[in-house]
Formats: sequence, C-alpha cells, structure tokens
Amino acid sequence: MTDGPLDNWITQLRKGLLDLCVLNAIARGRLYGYDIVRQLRDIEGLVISEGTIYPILSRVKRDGLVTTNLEESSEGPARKYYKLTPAGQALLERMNGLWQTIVEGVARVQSQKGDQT
Amino acid sequence: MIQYTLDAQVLVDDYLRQVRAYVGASPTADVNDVLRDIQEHLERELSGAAQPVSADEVRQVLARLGSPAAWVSEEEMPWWRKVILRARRGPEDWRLAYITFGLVLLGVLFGWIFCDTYRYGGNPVVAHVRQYDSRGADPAQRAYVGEDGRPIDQFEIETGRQSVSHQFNWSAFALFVAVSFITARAVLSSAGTPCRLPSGQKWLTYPSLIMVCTVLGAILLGWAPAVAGGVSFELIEHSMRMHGQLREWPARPGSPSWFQSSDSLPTLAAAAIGTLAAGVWWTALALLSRTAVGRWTQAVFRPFLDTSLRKVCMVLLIVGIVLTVIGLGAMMIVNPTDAGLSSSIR
Repeated sequence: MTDGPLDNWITQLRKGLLDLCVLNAIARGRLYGYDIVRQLRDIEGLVISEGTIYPILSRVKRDGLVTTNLEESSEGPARKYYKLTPAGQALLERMNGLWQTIVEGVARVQSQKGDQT
Repeated sequence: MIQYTLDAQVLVDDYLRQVRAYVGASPTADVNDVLRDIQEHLERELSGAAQPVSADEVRQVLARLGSPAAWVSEEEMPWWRKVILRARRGPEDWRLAYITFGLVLLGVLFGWIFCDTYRYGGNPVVAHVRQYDSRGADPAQRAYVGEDGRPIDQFEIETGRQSVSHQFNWSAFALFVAVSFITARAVLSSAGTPCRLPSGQKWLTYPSLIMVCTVLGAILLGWAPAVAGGVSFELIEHSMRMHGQLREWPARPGSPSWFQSSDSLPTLAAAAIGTLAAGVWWTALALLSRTAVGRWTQAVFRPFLDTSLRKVCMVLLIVGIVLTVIGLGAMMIVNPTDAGLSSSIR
C-alpha cells in the first residue's frame, strides 16, 4: 500500500496550518521573513521547504493582514519587517479560536474511540 | 553583501529565475516581495560562510528552501497561466523548442485564416479566349471571361452560379516556418555537435528544420539540372522552330522509333542535358565535401548531416557518376547539337 492518501492529507493539513502559524509567529512581535522561517522550521513536520513561507507572507500582506517596513541593518542589506494589522489581529483571534475548537473536538472523538475499544 | 563563486552565482541566478517563473504565475503572491525575501534569506544563511561562497554551500541552502515549483499550487492559476508557466519551465532550449513548434502551428493557422479566395462566375460569358500550347499548335483549352473581366470556370458555365475557391496562403506559412527555422537553429546551437537533443525537443524542432532543409536541399541539388535542362529546352525548341526543323529531326540511324518524333526532341534533349548536369554537379559536390563547401553544407543542414556527411557524399558521388554516364549516353542517342543547337549556330 502506498502513502498516497497520507501524503495528500498531510499536504492539505500543512497548507492551512502554515497560514495560522505564520500569523501567530508575526503576532508574537515584529519579525522579518528569515526570523519567521527559523521559528517555523523547528516545528517538526510542518515546514518541508523553507521557501514555502515567503509566498504566504506575500499573500497575507496583499490581503491586508500584515504590513511591512524596511529598516537598515548593520549586518547586511535592509531588512523587511512584518507586523500584524488590526484586521490580521482580528482574523488571527478567530482562526486561533476555531483551531482550538477543532483540536478539542478531534481530541474528544479520539478519546471516545479509545473508550469504545 | 555576499560574494559568490562563478558556479554558485549561476545556481543563485537560476534559482531566482525559477522563483520569478513560478511565483510570478501565482495571482496571490507578489513576486518582487518573494524575491527580496529569498535574497535576504540567502544573505542571512550564508553570512557566516567563507567568501566567496562556494556552489556546494549555496546548493545546501537552496535545497532547504526547496523547489519554487512546490510553493504555488497550479490549481489557483487560470488555465492560460498554466500553459505559459509550462512553456517557461526548464532550460532555455525547451522554451525555444516550444516557440519553434508554436510558430509552425501559427503558420498553418495564418495560412488558413489569410487564405487566397478566388470567386468565379455570377456573370454572363462575353468572350472566350483560345490558349495555345507552347509550340503554337492546336488550341489546348479555352478560357472563358465574364463581363466583369473575371475568369469563368466550368462550374459556372454549367450552372450559372458563382463558385468560390479558397487556397491555402503559402506565403504566410513560409514566413512563419522561416522564423521557426531560426529559433530551431538556436535550439540546435545549445545542443552541441553532434546534436544531442532529447526526443521531446526533436519533435518540437524538427518539423521546421525538415521543411526548410528539404527546400534548401532541393535547390542545392536541383538548380543545375533545372537550369541546364530548361535553357537547353528553350534553345533547342526555339532554334528548331526558327529553322523549320520541327519535323525534320535528324536522329541518329538506329535510334528507337519513338525518338523519331521531332515534337519530343526538345524534351528528350533537355532531359539528357539535365541528367548530365545533375551528374556532374552532384559528383563535384561530393568531391568538394572535404573542403569548406562540405563544412558549409554541413552547417546549413544541421543536424541531419552532423554524423552522416561522408555517407551522404559517398552516395551522392556514386549517383552523380551514374547520372553522368546516363546523361552522356542519352546525349549521344538524342544528339541535340545536330538537331537544335547546331541549327541555331548556323
């Protein structure tokens, strides 16, 4: 048996979770792209290719969920810092709430399954 | 600012080109934003590395970044962006190969769209013109002309209705194929000598190469017999008519009876001279294959003569010698100098 269905499921799961994780990472403070990637790549199984994060950052910026500003850096070229907008903050709170509900629901279903066995 | 070795710079440039192609095709991401982020990422990852940064170190960072193809889902793209994206994928020679084939298809399309339309009829016949064959013999056919000066075909004469004929526009087609040939040659130039194109690229580039090389080959091999045969036909026919020898052809004694008809003499003589000219020219071409002429021919007919020039020249030499012998033999039998050329000299 191949891992096709599992791979497909993981891909779909990652796709949604990456947005949530990116917004949560930015919500913790003003960050630039590379810092966000470093934070997220430590989550096992979430980030397969680090470059995936950058199109997401561009998309959430285009959607008005984050803003960017360039600042000079003593270590190299100017850095682009990301910051949540009020709309991004509001969306993130709803996403986190929904995620919490889903996690609890899934845990409940899993525990019921354990009781039955 | 990071300094790269030449190989590493090539890797980075190619990677950024892929980012531009894939992310640029996404309607949701700003490609300039992403490019800036990727460059910043490379700067940060390689800031501790010895300068100039080697290709191996760059390769490791790029491997962690992953293929830009996986960053953007094709599902979110409109169909035409997917087509463009596929055409932009891969190395330069693939894009050129797609363009080459696309130009041939456009040539066919334009040939049909801009086809030449001829309308016949819809007007009464006011005249018919007798057309005579080239020797001034009996009328071979009649051409009918309508009152508006347009030609009228048999369909109209029989039905009284107008008929329309569409003819493929070969000029438009030839123009596109000529441009396609140039892009195909650009593909070949990146494939090395002898040509090592993947079979997919062959399918995309060979149609225009075959078409143009066939025409060029026909011109190269055929100009000598065509010119010699055509000129000799005109000269012999003209001189025979001028001297009233059309029915007094002095064929050699013992010639086959069907040679005795003076009407066929110009054609037979032209065929004999054309065959001789073809034989001499092809033999000369084959013998010149080791000189600059051979290299020039090989360059023009790439990739078809890349590895087979010697074989082709050997065949050409044999056929050329055979045709020379046949042409000389035919001239001795047909005897065109006695018949036409000598009369014109007299």
